[in-house]
Amino acid sequence: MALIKLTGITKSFAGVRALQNVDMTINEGEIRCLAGENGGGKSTLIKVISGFYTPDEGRIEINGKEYKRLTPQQAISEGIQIIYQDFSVFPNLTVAENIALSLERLQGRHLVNWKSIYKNAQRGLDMIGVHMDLDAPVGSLSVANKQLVAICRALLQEAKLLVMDEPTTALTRKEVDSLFAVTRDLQAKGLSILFVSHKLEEVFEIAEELTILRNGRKVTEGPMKEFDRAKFIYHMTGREIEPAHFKAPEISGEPLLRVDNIGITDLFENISFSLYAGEIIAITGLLGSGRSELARALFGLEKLTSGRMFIGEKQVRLHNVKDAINNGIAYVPEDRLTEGLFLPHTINNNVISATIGKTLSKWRLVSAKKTNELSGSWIDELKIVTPSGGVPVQTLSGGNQQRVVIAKWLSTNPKVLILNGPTVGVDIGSKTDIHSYTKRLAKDGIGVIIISDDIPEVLENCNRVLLMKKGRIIEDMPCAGLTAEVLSRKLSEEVGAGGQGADSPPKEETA
Amino acid sequence: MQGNSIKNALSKLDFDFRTLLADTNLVRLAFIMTASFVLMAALNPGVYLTVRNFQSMAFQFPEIGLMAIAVMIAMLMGGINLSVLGIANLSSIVAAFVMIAAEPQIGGWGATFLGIATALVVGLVCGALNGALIAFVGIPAILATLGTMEIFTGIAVYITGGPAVFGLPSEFALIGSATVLGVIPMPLIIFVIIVAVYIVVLQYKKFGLEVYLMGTNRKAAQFTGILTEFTIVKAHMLSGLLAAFGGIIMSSRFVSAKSDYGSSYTILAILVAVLGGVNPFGGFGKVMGVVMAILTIQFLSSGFNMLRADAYLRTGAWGALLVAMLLINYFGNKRAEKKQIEAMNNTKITEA
Repeated sequence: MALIKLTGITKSFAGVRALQNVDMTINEGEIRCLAGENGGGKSTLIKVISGFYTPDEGRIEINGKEYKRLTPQQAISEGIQIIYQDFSVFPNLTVAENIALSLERLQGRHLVNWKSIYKNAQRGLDMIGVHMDLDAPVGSLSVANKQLVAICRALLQEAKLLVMDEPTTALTRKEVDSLFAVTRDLQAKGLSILFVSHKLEEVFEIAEELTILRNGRKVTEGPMKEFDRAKFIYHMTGREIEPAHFKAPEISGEPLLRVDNIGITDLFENISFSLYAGEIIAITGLLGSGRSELARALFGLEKLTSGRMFIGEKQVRLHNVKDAINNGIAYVPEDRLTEGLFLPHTINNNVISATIGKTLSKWRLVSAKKTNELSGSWIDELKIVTPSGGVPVQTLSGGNQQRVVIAKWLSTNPKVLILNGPTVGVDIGSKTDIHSYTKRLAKDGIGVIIISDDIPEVLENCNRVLLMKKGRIIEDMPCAGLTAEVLSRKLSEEVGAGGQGADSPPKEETA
Repeated sequence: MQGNSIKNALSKLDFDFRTLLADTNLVRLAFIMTASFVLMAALNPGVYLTVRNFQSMAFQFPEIGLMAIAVMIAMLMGGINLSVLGIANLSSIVAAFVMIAAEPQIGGWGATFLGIATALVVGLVCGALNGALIAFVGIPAILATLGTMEIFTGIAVYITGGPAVFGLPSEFALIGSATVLGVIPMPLIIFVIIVAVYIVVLQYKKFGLEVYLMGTNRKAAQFTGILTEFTIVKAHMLSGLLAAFGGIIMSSRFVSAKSDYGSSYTILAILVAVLGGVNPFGGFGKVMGVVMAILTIQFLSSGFNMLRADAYLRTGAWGALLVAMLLINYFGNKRAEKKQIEAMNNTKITEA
């Protein structure tokens, strides 16, 4: 029986069609996978199901009841629970409080009953059969345990449908296995699971039914056994074959950037690599592997405690971002909203923010004309869709916002460009544009470092990939000859168990 | 060649004029200012539109106008400066002691210049302390400046023992009482010059643009290579400098310095800054907006005075004006946002 039935869902933001005429049905007790590349519309669809977004068009039917305007409260009382990527847990509260407080609220209590909190929290943990210290602050837990806390919380609120948004992003292979065990167990108890992912291996492992979104449209759906790898990839990407790898030109001369045994106490250590002109190298690893800290250190945001860093032949010490910019390093940060952009300010101001010096008149005053010229040339170059440069950045779509951040950094004429998660939350069109533009920059002689755990992105755009785990680079391999399967397995293998993992890989999926 | 440069200059002026018109907030303020003026002139026929009234207004508003701009600078960074009046009084008191001690040795003019320099240095130091507490120690601006307000006022009370310091050089008194060309009050001239300098520094210098950017997102500013700590300290020093200028004019008008002069100015300066369209969340606000706001307040205040309006009524009227202005700004901004999104959607459609 259908638990939830969506018909003809359409949703647009500031001119971008995030969803177009999407149908999806989730039956009771099934594990359905919602797959698609970043920017395909998965997150928007989840938010429609949770009542966070009201669709422009379409019908939502839950348990046979039709909702014109589904509110988040209604969705919760119908048993729809979402486990978001960041789990939305309170790090300062204990495990018991995190699991049971929303239930207390749901029951309309005004005073906290501590006895029932502990009782309910224990009941929640028992449902998935795990043991945890109820008094431990959630901030001190591992990522996997935080996730379990979020799942327990959802279960206590009588979830009928559990939506998990990219639940494995920060998990090791072992943790993924136990998450899947919990998931199957819940299914056996009659829950429906919507598993949202773009990772091929996992989808094949856990899902029974599959819905694939691309560009905001549903491109296919059906039982998992009707799909094989090739068909899956074709529907995800819209391309028949796996695209060619990026080929770097012949490496010659001095490296643009060379690091020798660099480290920051407790964050990462013994990192050595060289980046040559025209190269695009990837640094990949799970969340918490030290990949972002390394990127920040290369940009002067964190101070190295050991090792040496060279730009060309010159040894440099970066005390702050200004030093990095002066050495020709540019960094497109992980979170463009909080780290990359001045959202209420205009495109012009954002583009020139790192290069205000270039817009000064002979009186050393900021010239409106020069600002317009500089910013305008980047708006054209990067095809930013906007009526003018005087528009606040917050009115742009994610893809265009990311182009603004890239423009800001390219206007500093960098020799080394570090892109941290360059296409997260960006629509497919912008993603392709950003990738091809990055390759063009490499061709022009810039050295690019892409930090990403998006496997197709790494394989298609980079000539070399450095794999990071627990603060160390454990492998430095050329992308040529590397397949998505192999890289994805290497990414989620436990450190230390490396040899063993390679010998007995988690069961190979039948294609 | 010369014709060309004049043409360039003109085209630049033309551009600035258009951006001024495009800034709906400033247009709104200009309208409210004019309306207040016309209303008060109509309610007080014969006495309002006189040279005497204009002069009296021009002696009164500059000191508080400067303090309002001092508050604005802190607000641009998403903070506030509650210590402007404390800085004004402390700097003028220290200057008073210096002048009284120095006058016998170096004469009235020498002492006046030394006094002004002293006041400005005190203002800079006080501002640097505010900035350092906020930027390096990480105390929220509202708490940091609340604390320093007490410190500055406390020092002022301590070194004066409470009563006003008299005996300032008569040359110093000219700053707050002289007129140029027989009609233009000196404080007005000082105000215009300082406003011009601050417009350039805040709205046309690299430093100013960095302050505006940092005001909306300090983390992004750091990621952009702006040395945020130093920018905050520098901006607070500029704020302290303005407060000291305000203190100089104020003590010159009273020909004395005291720890509790202008006791209502702190709240009034904040009110004027907000009235002038400075966004309390940081990043937006123009010096000209604050100038128009202080003029509006002065027009209304003088008018109410002439009507012999109840002082409480006047306070109420200011509060009502402030709330009305906030509401107007709120709805105005909402409309502007809607327009932008519409424009964006149209662009997308033609693009497709």
